[in-house]
Amino acid sequence: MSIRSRILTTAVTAVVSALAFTGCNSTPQESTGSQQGPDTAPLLRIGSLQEPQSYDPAQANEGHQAPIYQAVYDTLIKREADGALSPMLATSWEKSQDGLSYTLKLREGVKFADGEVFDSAAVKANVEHFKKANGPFASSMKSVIGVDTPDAATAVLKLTEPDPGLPYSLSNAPGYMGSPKALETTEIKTSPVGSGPYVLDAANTVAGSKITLTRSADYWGDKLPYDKVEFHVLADETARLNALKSGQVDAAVFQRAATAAEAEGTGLLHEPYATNWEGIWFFDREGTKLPQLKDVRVREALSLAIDREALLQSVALGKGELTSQTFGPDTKGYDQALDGKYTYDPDRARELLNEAGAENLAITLPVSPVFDPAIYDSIEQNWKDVGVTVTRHQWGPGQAIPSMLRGEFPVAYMSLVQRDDWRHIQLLLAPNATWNPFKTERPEINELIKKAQAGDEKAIGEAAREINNIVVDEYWFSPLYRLEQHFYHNDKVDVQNQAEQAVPSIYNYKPTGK
Amino acid sequence: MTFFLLRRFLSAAVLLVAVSFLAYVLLFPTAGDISRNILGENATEEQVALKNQELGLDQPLPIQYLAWFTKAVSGDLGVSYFSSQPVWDTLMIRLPVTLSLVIVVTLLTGILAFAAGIYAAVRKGWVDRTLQILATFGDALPSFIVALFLVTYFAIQLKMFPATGYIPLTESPAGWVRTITLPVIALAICGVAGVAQQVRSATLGVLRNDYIRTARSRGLSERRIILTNVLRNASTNGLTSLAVQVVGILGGAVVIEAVFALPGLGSLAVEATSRTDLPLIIGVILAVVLIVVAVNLIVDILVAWLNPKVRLS
Repeated sequence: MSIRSRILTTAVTAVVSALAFTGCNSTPQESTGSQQGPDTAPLLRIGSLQEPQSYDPAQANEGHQAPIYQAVYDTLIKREADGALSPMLATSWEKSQDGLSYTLKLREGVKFADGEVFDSAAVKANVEHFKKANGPFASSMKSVIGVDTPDAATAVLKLTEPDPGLPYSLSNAPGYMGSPKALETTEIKTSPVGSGPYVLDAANTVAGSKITLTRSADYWGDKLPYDKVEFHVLADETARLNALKSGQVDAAVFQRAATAAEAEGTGLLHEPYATNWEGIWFFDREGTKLPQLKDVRVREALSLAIDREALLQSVALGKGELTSQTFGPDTKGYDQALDGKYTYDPDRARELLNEAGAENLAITLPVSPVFDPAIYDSIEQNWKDVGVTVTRHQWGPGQAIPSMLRGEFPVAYMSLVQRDDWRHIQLLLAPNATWNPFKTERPEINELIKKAQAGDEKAIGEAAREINNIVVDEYWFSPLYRLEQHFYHNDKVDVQNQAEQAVPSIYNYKPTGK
Repeated sequence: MTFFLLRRFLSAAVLLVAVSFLAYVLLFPTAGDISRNILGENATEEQVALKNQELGLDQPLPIQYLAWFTKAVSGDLGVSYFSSQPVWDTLMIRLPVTLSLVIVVTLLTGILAFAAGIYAAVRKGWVDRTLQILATFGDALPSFIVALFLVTYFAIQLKMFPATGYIPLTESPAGWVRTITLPVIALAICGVAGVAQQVRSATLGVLRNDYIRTARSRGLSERRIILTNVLRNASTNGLTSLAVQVVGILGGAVVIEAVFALPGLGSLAVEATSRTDLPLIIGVILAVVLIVVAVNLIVDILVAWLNPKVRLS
């Protein structure tokens, strides 16, 4: 190409894209959901909060980083936008009678980006690598002891105890399949080798700034609409908003309600959905560190003392739903009747404290830099209003979660994603759950967990609902609200929200043709 | 001069060791939580303990520091706990971004501040007063407010510059200019104001000296007097103030890099600190200390070259 024609092409492209841009800015659309766009588009640009720590699938993280991993690694099982599980690298999965093994039928004709074949040996290699690497999600494969490979298209996962959460796990980090040959190298940390729809374009990737992915030449599955995907790493919230407003990225997630309001004001698009719940956690339900907390009336009083509605309006700008339970609306454990149970009633709270003989209650409220200080101010004021003495403890950056999980504080404010029934119980409510640092235990809950573990999906759902009721009645937590996820995009893309995930999966984007 | 340089290099080395040790001591209390933060909220206590062992975080402070130090001396700054990238590689990616900013801002600040300061001192009157007011205003304006204004107006509304991101000079010089223009302006504004004030008062001081009067009486042109006598004598103060500004620019870069999402040392420092990524934090600190030491050294040499009196002391 001569210099002149190159200049011409550049100029034409510039003019066209400028026109396209002014065109799309002039009329902000309400919704793009029903529009039929073209099948393919050259480029999708996503503003990302974080970049992967490592491309080793065993070190993979979920949540904000999920779409980046999904672009290069296929999972054994796919998780659809609504949370339903469907075939991907595994075409089917079946639990044995005793629940101690899962038989996966594997897709044939799938190759990794380095030409290696995907088969049962690859599954075995990945599972073993995952367990050995001690990555963030190693514990979700705790129950798996080994993989049998009766033939190339069948892999049998052997378990030490029934694990109803396993199929779900295989749709997430533990399910990412990397080329067995690449897993053994250290290069896997910086250059992923999977069977996913895209491959990393290392030459156009800048650490800390931009990740560029290009179409994998012979992807086995249905092609995704975009020829190229760029993740712009924008850790700063303002930078992310600016990039989206100026058209440098097509979509981005925000963490503050105020930013969301600003994005809304500039005509960016948004479909409300909630992934997290947040509120007060009464970790010390046995009164180990704070004896009064053993009395359920004290926990009830502290819950009723909080003006949830005011907090939702002032801090979250009304972008959320009040709740009294930790189970999310998408789960079987969810019970709509429980949502309005903890209503603001300071008089009743004072009475309850009186009845429990806890008039002189003194609580240390640990403060994390992650949350809006106004949340702590409000709760402190609410508790002081009913006669509780509140002192604060300031956590440094990165200290909050470790401190909570070590059981250093009887009470804390925290936000967590709403998971499926089984993993919710395993993570928050079971006697040895990570998020149950004081190891609260109830015989009836233990029974229900046992029943769920041995039973089918329906049994898990029923058990979850009963457990949820016990936990709400006993005020194990004082949930405030399910916060809306602030995910915004321009009208060039059509995006479906992803259940249980901070940001949409890579499969959920479509061009609108604008 | 050789002795002077040797002494400076030696003190720089001592400073680096001291700073790295201090960083280790200060960050050590939080080290117990690193493994939990790497593994996330789902990890079990056993996983955390295993990771602690893997990273050597279960060892006492002196042993950890010694292990780091012996490797660092041979040029190996370790591996980031979070990104599994060698600290050295990460620094080499991030350094050019911050250096681009620092160098361009310093040169720009130097040229503009000297021009404005001397002009104001020589011209006096309304020019001086206007510059004084502008300088006070520029000095008082926080750079991030300027940055936000620049982004809103020039990037989002006029779309003249990209709102975020960085294109390396080696990749596209035009792209590089486009990506650093707004950050440079944001950083330079208060720098220029501060240094210009110093240059102005230094120039005024010099102009009052007898030798200037002598030079004038000998019929030398005003331009000649300013370029040879005044500039040379007034530059000491201006350059020293510029060196101080560079330290300020590095501090300002933390905020500016975040606003413009530039992958430089400033944003790296924020990321590394918020995750207590010990090897990376220390790497960043060392890099920043080195920049500050280098800038001071350059300024000292410049001043000594311009003003022979300094060399004697």
